[in-house]
Amino acid sequence: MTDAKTNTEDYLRMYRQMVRIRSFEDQANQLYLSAKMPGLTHMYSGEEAVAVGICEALKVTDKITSTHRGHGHCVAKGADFKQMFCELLGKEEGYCRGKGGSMHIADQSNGNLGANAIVGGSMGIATGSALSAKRLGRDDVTVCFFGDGATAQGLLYEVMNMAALWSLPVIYACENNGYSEYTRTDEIAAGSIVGRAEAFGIEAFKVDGQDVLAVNDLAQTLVARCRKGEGPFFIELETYRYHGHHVGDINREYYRPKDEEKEWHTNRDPITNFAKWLTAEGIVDQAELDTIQTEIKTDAASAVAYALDAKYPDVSEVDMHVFAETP
Amino acid sequence: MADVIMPALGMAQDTGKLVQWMKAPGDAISTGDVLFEVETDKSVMEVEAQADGFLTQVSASDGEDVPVGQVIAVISATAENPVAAPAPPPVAQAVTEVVAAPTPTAPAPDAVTTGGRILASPKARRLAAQEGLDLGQLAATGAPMPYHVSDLATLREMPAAAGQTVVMAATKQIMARCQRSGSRDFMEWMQADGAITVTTSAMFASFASGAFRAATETPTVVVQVADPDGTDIFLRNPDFTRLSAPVSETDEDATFVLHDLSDSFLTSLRLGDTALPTLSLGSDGDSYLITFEFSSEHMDDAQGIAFVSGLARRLADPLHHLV
Ligand SMILES: Cc1ncc(C[n+]2csc(CCOP(=O)(O)OP(=O)(O)O)c2C)c(N)n1
Ligand SMILES: [Mg+2]
Repeated sequence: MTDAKTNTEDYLRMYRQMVRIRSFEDQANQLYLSAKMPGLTHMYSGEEAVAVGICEALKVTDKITSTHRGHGHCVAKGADFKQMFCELLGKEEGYCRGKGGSMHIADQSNGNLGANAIVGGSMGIATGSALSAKRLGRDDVTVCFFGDGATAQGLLYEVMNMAALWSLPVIYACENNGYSEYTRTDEIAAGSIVGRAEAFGIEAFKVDGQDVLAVNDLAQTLVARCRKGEGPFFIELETYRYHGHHVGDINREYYRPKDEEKEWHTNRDPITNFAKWLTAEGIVDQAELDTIQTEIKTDAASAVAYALDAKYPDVSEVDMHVFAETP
Repeated sequence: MADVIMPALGMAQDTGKLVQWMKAPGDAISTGDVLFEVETDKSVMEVEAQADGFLTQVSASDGEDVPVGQVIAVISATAENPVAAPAPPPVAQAVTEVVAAPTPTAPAPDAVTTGGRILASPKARRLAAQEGLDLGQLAATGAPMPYHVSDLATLREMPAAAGQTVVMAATKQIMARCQRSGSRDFMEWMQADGAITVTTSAMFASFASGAFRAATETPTVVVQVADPDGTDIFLRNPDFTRLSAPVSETDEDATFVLHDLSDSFLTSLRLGDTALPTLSLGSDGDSYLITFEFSSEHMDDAQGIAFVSGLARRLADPLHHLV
């Protein structure tokens, strides 16, 4: 990690955002297990540095597309806890007025074009968004988040081909957390992941997804180059999910050893490691970080309480935002 | 202190079965220890402790079906109160007794909005049937549908509250609707083509008898055709006789009762009388409405469903079933 002190504010915001994601997920996990939340949900805990490192390099007007494991992207792109929890619980004040839930949350106000329950489903949307920015002459960049498992979807190869031919301002961000559902990545993906993008002549990078500064540095560079018309780019971020594939996947030893989980928790936690660096560099002291943690946990808890009490949408809204009038 | 809950681990999961506790009340617990095993509809899983302390206030026991989200113990700083104070009875306590309440005579308030259907999760339905509980009784109280396993707790309390001790099976209802046009075309065609008059009542008796035989494999079917103004007639195996010919009457006991409402203002009878399986056939515009009441003493659910489906198929497309 490099040059310190000058960017204290940026660093603290990154720390704060990672802690916000972790706290959000701890609450969401509890809500689900205690049967207060419908549907199914996938925890982002452990992968915080990926979403935060990238989204901190973006402007509000830049766009992202997200995945079934999407709460982290949503928070990192600037979403508000209350509206997010309301969405998870199907309440009227949710980002999609309660119709989307965990896997279809979208926050257009911050440029989050939406989570997507279809693995790889947002690749076309992201590429289309980049195409529209280019055609409209805007300098927006779009980041497409997807997992290692999604590299098996044919759509990726169609859109990378187009994006490369048309030099679109899109960054394909592959979150390689080592597994897709209950299968190790090396059992589902032959050859190299970055090699797939390189085959289309797309510049591709591999980065430690647990190191928020490394991710952010790379993202800053690539976003700037996209704005100059040098896109598209591809990043493989090496990361790890702490929880199961979904909240109910609590016994994982049959596919993932406990020692491996422990190793990532103890030695590769993005929040702990960043905190160590921040204190070692003398940017903040531990007490300040503890205060941030407490504040955010309280925030998350009160947002949950708020959402639990919030109103469900009126039945009259059932077809709202479902049908559009054609002119 | 941390609550130990029965976790929701999958979509649309109402309860988890506590297979067994792996720790005893009062045991010292460390985070990550396996506390208990839970069986969902998919598999058996181990649930780990989320906190350090002692296992206390245990309120569910091995083998119990517990609604997801319910607190079943607390991990506390001390080992005091290892077992929960006897509060509301644990949910699955009544599983072994089959003491069902009689069907409510008043129609369920929800009958209007749900067309008489009782909305309940498949699991709630299955457990209710196993325990001889009648969801209709819950509906009669106006409790909001759909019912989940957690609602069965309320239902289990109900017969006891009413001081009900008589063991009798609950009345079940199956309703169906089918197009009239198939039967109408068939009767017209018989008339036009062969000058054969087929009456609606003969057709009902024959099709009902045939469908009943197919669903239940009953060798002799005696249909008691109810006549509110006169004497009921008892027809022996009407499906074995040509539709235009008279069916032999019998004084044997009836297999089921048939109410032909097609020529009346009534569309459906739900009298809750479990003595004999009871079928009523009414008409509503271009449809026939089939209502069938029975209890587990007469047949199982699958047979009841097969009977009503078979009858609806025959009425919708008579030729198909006659040739
Ligand atoms: C098209 C499609 N196929 C299958 C699924 C079921 N499914 C949900 S998540 C998942 C694994 C995705 O793995 P990965 O892309 O690595 O993301 P991760 O869950 O590891 O974040 C699968 C197969 C789906 N949602 N969509
Ligand atoms: Mg993965």
